[in-house]
Amino acid sequence: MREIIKKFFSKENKEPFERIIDRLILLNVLILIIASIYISATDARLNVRNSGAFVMPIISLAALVYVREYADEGRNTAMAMVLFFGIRELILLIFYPRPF
Amino acid sequence: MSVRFTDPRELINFLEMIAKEPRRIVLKTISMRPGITTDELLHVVSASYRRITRNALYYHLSLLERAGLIRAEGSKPRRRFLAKKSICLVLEGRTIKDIMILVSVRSALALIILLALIFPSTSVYSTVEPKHEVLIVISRPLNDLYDQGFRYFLHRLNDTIHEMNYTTNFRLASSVELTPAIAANYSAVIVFMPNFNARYSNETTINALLTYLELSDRGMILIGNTDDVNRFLYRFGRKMGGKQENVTVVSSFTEPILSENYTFELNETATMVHEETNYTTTPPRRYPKDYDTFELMRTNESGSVAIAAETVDNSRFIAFTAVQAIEDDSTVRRGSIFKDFLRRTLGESYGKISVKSRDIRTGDEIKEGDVIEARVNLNHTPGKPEVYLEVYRGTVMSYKGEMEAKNDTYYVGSRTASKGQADVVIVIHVRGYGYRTSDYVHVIVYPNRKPAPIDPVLASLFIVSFIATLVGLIIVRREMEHA
Repeated sequence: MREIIKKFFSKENKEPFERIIDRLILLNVLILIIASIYISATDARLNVRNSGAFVMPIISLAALVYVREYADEGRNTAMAMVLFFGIRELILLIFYPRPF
Repeated sequence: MSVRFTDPRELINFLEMIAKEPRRIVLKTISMRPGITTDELLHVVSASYRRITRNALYYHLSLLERAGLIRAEGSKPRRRFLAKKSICLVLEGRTIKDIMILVSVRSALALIILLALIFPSTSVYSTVEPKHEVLIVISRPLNDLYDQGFRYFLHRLNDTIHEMNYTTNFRLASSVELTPAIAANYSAVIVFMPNFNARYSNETTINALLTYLELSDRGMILIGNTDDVNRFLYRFGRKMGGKQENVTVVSSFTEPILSENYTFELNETATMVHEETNYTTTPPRRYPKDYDTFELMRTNESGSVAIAAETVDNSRFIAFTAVQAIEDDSTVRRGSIFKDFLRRTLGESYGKISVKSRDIRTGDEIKEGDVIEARVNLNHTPGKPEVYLEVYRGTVMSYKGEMEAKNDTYYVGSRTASKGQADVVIVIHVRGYGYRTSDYVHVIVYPNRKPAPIDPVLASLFIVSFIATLVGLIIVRREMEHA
C-alpha cells in the first residue's frame, strides 16, 4: 500500500498510461469528495438511483489501481468491473423501481 | 492425471514441455513455492536442461507473470522472477494463452463477486424502506390441501403480497398456530376469513387477537364475507372493549366467496398455478373465478392496513368494501363507505369525484351513458405521505339482464399501467344501470410506488465517473498495446 501511494505521488519514471491512470484516480477521488459533501450539505437522499455517484467512483478507483498494479492483465478485469457496475447503476438510475 | 511441481526443476520441465508442444497440455497442477527466483531456475536449466534457452525461459516466465502468478523485478538482462505466493492451478486441455485468459476471467469474476458482496443490496439505498410488519392470519391451516380453492386463494395472496411488498413486510400465519406472543410482534394484523370456521378459530386465536389489540393502538383488519365477519364478531367483537376503533372490517355484502354456488370451468391461470405447485391431489375441476382479481392493498403511515379485494364471476359482481366501524351490537355499519374509508385511510382532505361534472355522493345513482371523470388531489401536507388520487374515466356500461363476465363490471382504464405512476389510485367500478353507487363504488388503494427521485447532481457525478473511467481505460489499453 505504501509503495502504491509513494509511486502515485512520485513524478519520475512514469509511463504515459500511468499518468492517465493517475489523473483518473484523482478525478474519481474528487467526485467522491464532491458527492459526499453534496449529500451531507443538501437534502439529497441516497437512494438506489443516486447510489451511482458513490458506487461508480469507488469501483473506478479499485479498477484503476488494479490496472496500475497489474498493468497488462489488469486492464481486462478493470474494464469488466467498470462496465458491469456502470451498466448496473445506469439501469437502476433509469428504470428503478421497475427494471424490466 | 494431476502433476504437482514443488521445485524449480520440475517447473522448468513443465515450461520446456510447453515450449515444445504448447497445445498438448492435458491436465496439470502447478505449485510453486514462494520465493523461487530466476537464478535458481537458470541454475537448474544450465545444469540439466540445456535445450531450453534463456530467452525461452524468460518468455514463459513472462507469460506466467502476465497471468499474475509470479512477480518480475529488474530490467530484462537481470530480471528476477519471484513466485508471489503458493500457486496451484488446474489446467485442463488448455494452452498457456488459455491459462492466461482463464486466470484473468477468474480474477475478474472473483473481483466482481467480491464487490457485489460489498455493495450488494439495492435496498440499502432504498428510500422506501419497510416500515411495518403485518401479520396476515388465515382462518385455516396453511397446508390445507383438501381445499384446492383455498390453496389457490393462498397463491393469489402470496403473489399479491410479493408484488405489493414495498412498504410493508407481510407474514402469513394460520389462525391455528396464532398465539398472543406471535401477534404481539406485528404492527398490524389482518384476519382473513374465507369461510371462517369455528374449527380453526379456537380460543387461543381469539385471545391472541385480543391481546394484540390490547397492547397498543395498532390496527387490525378483518376481511371476509358478511356472514363470516358477523360470525367472527359475534364471538370476538363483544370482547374488544374500547378497541373497536382500531379494527377495520373489510367485508363483502354479497354471498360468501368460497361458496360452491359460484363455479366455472378451469381456466388457463388456474391450470398454470396448478402445475407450478405440483399438487398431489387430482386437479380441481372448478374454481371460484373471483380469486383471479384478488388484490391486496397498501398500508398507510399509521400502520393500519387498508385492504380491498374485488371479485368477479359469471353471474355477479362481488366486492369487498371498507366499512367505517363496528358498532357495539357487532353488526357492520355500511354508511358513507366511500368518504369514511378515504378519511380513515388517507386523512381528512380529499378532492372531488364527479360524474359529468356533478359530484358523486354516497347513494347517488349512476345512469347508463354516464361518463365518470374524476381526478382527486389531496392537499399535500409536509410530513405526510404525498398522495395523489386518480380515478379513471370511462363510460358506464349498460345493464342487460344476464351480464357476461367482463361486462358485469366495467373497468375503467388500465390499472396495471397506472400502478407505478400514482401513489394512490382509486378505481371506481360501476356495475351498471339502475344501481346505487353506495353499493357498487369500490375503492382500491395501491401502494406507494412512486420511483425514488433522481438527484441531477449525483446522477451527473455518476455519469462523469463512469464515462471518464471507461474512456480512460480504453486509452490506457491502446497505450499499452502500442508500447
